[in-house]
Amino acid sequence: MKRLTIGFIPLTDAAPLIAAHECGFAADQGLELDLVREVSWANIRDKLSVGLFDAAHMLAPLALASALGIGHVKVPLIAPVTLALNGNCITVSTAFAREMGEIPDDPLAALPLIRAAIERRASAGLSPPVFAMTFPFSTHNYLLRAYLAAGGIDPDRDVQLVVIPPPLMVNSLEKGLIDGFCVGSPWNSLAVDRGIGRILCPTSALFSGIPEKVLAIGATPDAGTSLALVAAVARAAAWCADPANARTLADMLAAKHYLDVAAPVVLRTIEGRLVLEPGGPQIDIPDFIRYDVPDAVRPNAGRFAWLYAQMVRWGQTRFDPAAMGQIEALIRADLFDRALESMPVTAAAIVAGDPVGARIDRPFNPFDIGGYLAGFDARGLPAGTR
Amino acid sequence: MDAALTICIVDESRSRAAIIEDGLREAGYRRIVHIDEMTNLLARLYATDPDVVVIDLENPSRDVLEQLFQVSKLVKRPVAMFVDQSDTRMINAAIEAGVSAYVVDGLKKERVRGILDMCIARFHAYSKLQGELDHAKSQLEERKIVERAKGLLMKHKGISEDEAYALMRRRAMNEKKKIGDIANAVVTGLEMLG
Repeated sequence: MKRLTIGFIPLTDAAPLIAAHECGFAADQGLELDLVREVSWANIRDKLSVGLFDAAHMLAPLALASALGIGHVKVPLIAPVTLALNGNCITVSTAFAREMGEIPDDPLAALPLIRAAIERRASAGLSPPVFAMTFPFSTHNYLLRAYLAAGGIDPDRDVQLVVIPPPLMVNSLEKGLIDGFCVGSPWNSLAVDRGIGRILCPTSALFSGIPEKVLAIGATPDAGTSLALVAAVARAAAWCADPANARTLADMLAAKHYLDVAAPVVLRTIEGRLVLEPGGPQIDIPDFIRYDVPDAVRPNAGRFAWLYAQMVRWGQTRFDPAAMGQIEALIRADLFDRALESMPVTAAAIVAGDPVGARIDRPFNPFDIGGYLAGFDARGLPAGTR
Repeated sequence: MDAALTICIVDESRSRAAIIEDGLREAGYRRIVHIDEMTNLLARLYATDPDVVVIDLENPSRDVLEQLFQVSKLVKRPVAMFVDQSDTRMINAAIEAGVSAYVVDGLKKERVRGILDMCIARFHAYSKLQGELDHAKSQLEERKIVERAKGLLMKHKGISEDEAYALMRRRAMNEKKKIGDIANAVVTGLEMLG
């Protein structure tokens, strides 16, 4: 048995790693996983960087930024499995929801209401609403920004964006420190259950395929061990994707040493049946969180290109045409394919066209990032909205 | 050493922050600010305008600090992580001790190295103290439970204090357990009998 130390943050999308350990997929590959719950993405990155972790559950944009050396030091890592697609929501406090008025089902139709609430606050001399996300290099940052910008709201001027660690989100909303947030599961559902939050927008309503977390492997494991880990985690993801296992998975994740959240809440986030407002009905959310193999889990360069384009769009880095090559080197799709050679997978047709399934903005073409970026002004807003 | 540097300690543990602050003062630093309340951390940091930020690795608010790199246009003085790639020994030492540090961009490494070295040493000292404290606490707990178990055994078996103790010690040795564990089992079992 080869022992590997792997860091994770308590979130529903750590499921493939946890299942790899709990259901024996890792043991089948001769691996013993030592899963360590961490408190910050910065710790995950730093401990992976110095070899205290062999691998980690990591924000896909953080893995990309670390590999490209954007915003911080360059960290030698690869991200050969995407642990999940989507799974996030944009939630506002029930107080802010009241400021917005009657909230429509269509998240895009809610945008003019947010804008009106911002304008009312401004004319009353009040400070702008505060929205929280989890990390500068996170899908939550980009999704929240893309959403607001689609409504002509400048995320850097019209609202205040702050970073709050996921487990502290709900408390911050409760204390009135923030008016809303974009975070992964199960924290949005927890805010609704506590009667303090209203889910405005499951982000799968904006894009159907955004890489959320990755399995990041550092420099310590050798090639054979990495391959075995990829095989174990990919098999675990396929297990997680099977609706027949949802209940078992929810019970597993709910445990104190993993998410420490009640199993029924976790189950809703796994099955994508969300309660949007306190006391409201359960609603089926298409593509809410996806672990399916291979389409969701096999790393897709086009989807990572979208993440990269967001970094450029929001001024975190300058556009570099060489980035696509670096993305290929980061995701090592070849490793995934080799690890899966022996695994029978239904060959889902790789969706042609926009890899992230944009339902707002323009369709994304990874072969024309420059053209995509030209559709936004210097502040990242859709060109011509202001 | 540069007494003019403002050093901010972000730590929810007041006792550890005090130990670090003492060390910094001994080393001659005069401008030290301790933040122990994590709400509105960024606003507090902007107000403090530190040259160096020292934060506990177990503090989830580390991710909040990371935002400082991204919104540098709003910060009076941009902050960057001190530990860079060339200094893996220092990174390892810091992570092992459980501390992380951030400094304003452009501040020379030599000027902050001493600060981080000191913090690493103090974090270790604090962990050692904490460990000793925990040990002492658990010893005290053990002594208490052994006393209670002795009393119960004397009552239920009609034996002397010495005999009760010898009985538990023999059992602990035979089962290769700590006497505290045996005493625990005795208390749970006999208290149910009343």
